[in-house]
Amino acid sequence: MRESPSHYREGPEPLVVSLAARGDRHAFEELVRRRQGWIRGLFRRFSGDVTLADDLSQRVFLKMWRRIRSLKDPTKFAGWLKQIAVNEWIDHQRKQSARWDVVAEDNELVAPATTPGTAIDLDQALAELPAVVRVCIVLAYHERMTHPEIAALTGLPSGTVKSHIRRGSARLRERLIDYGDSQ
Amino acid sequence: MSDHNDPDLQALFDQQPVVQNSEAFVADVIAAAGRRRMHWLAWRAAIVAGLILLELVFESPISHSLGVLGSAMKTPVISLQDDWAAFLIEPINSVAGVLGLVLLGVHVLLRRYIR
Repeated sequence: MRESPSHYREGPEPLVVSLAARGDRHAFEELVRRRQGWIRGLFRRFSGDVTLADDLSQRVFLKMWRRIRSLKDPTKFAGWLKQIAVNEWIDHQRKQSARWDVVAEDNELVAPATTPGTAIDLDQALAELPAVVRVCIVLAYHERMTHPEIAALTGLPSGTVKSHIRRGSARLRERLIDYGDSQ
Repeated sequence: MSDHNDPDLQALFDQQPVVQNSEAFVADVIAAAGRRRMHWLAWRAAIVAGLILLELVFESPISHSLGVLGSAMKTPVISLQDDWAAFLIEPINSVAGVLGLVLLGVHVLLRRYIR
């Protein structure tokens, strides 16, 4: 098993970030170790797919390693890393559809993948949401971000973010009623 | 946290299992970073080898091109008389000087407005 030297494990994150920015591979490894659970969890909520989530997480950490010298303030590492992760997910969505951020009129009424009355879990319910709505919902609930923060991170207008979260929440509630009852 | 979040949905999100740390994942990322670095070094080595080969086979085309470029960079942009203004402007009165100022301006603008 690979191990970082113990002083990296005990070091405050801004210090480890500064060391990684100077090309220290052990510091990079330590940052991956510390932040992997968060980033992989975020992608699992976005995608609902464990393998895809780990692939995208790996890409995010490789981009982090390549760009970390451009991070001027090491205390802002978490927000900077989240920005890379969200951009990675948006790029992935754009490869699936150039207009990923558009919600078709009839998309809100997409036929459920499960028959009514069947319990589904959160990831299934999220997967039924249009891509852009899912991003807003995950950032609002999983990351507990405010609407202006989500707008700044995704580049979507604030009003659009608010509307996506309101509609997405209503849709999730509707789909998860049976799930809640079955717990 | 957003004040507009539905409390029931928030509770459901909070109940979701946390992804456990995996040493295998860390090892995969480190190995991928190592492969990328080797790939990058191999490309650099191939480019350097190619340039050396060009120099040897085609009678120093790169050295010649660099000489021509160096002369072009020294070309004055404005013709000046021998007065105090000429003395002040001389350090930047060349293609290289103007290019340097433009790049400096772009750098300052990027730092101020993008980052």
